[in-house]
Amino acid sequence: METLLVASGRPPPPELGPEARAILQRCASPQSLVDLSATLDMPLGVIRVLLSDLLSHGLIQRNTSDSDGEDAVPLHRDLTLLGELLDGIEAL
Amino acid sequence: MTATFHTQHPTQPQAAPRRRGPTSVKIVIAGGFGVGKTTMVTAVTEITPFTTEVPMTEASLGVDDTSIVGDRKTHTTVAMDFGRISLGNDLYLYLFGTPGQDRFSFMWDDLTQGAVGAIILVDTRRLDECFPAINYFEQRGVPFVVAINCFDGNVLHAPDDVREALQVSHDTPVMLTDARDKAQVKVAMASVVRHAMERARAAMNA
Repeated sequence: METLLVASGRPPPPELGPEARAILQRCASPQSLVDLSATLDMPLGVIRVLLSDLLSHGLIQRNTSDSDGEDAVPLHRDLTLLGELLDGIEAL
Repeated sequence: MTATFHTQHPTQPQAAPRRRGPTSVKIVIAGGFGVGKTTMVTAVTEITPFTTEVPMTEASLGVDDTSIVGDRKTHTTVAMDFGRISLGNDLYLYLFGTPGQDRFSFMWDDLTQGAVGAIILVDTRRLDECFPAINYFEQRGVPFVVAINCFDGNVLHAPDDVREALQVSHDTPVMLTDARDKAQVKVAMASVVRHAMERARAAMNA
């Protein structure tokens, strides 16, 4: 839902549909599934399908920081990240 | 990028995975129907909460009568609130309001997966409505805080009385809040992150 996706910068193939292009354009900056659904006014299910195409073509990249090895602490239990989160919230 | 934070936690310099690129974390806001979840998300978010649509699952079978619309009805509209807050350094906080209606509880698993923790928003006039949320997060070991929404500044019950009525553990933070007020929502969010940190520390030492 909230995993961030960024365009890889690879040029899109000419046959790419307008909806997929719109997603690619938005992903110039980090976007999540729910961001895309909200800003492009498309249901989550539709965005999911389009994203899986874009991912398999290497046009979009997923944030990989939570796949660092098998016994890595999950991000939401990582004290360093939580500390950064707390500082960020208090600075709002 | 994370070097400055290592100084705060000198005891575990290698435990934390290095962040590479944009990172998102989320906090779930739960509670009964009409308790102020949307208001709370709206108070702090940079973008407008929205309504989306999810596929119907077996959870809705026998509940939503689809016979009147035929077999092709596979989607139903679910109001889902979310907010996004940019915290700088490529860190983004997402807030998800859980759908208030019981029959959308199947969505909770998706929303809760990987969440830092939850804020359970409570209206003391309808205390029983938060029990499903409390049970849900307790069973899954998700850290949560209880925030009593004081509509119009009315404090009807003290936090300790609410804690007793809800029978939550003594280390669960229970606080008064005003879902409309950004500063108070910040306090609730900070509280759930602190609580999650305590839990993570306890788990590491166990």
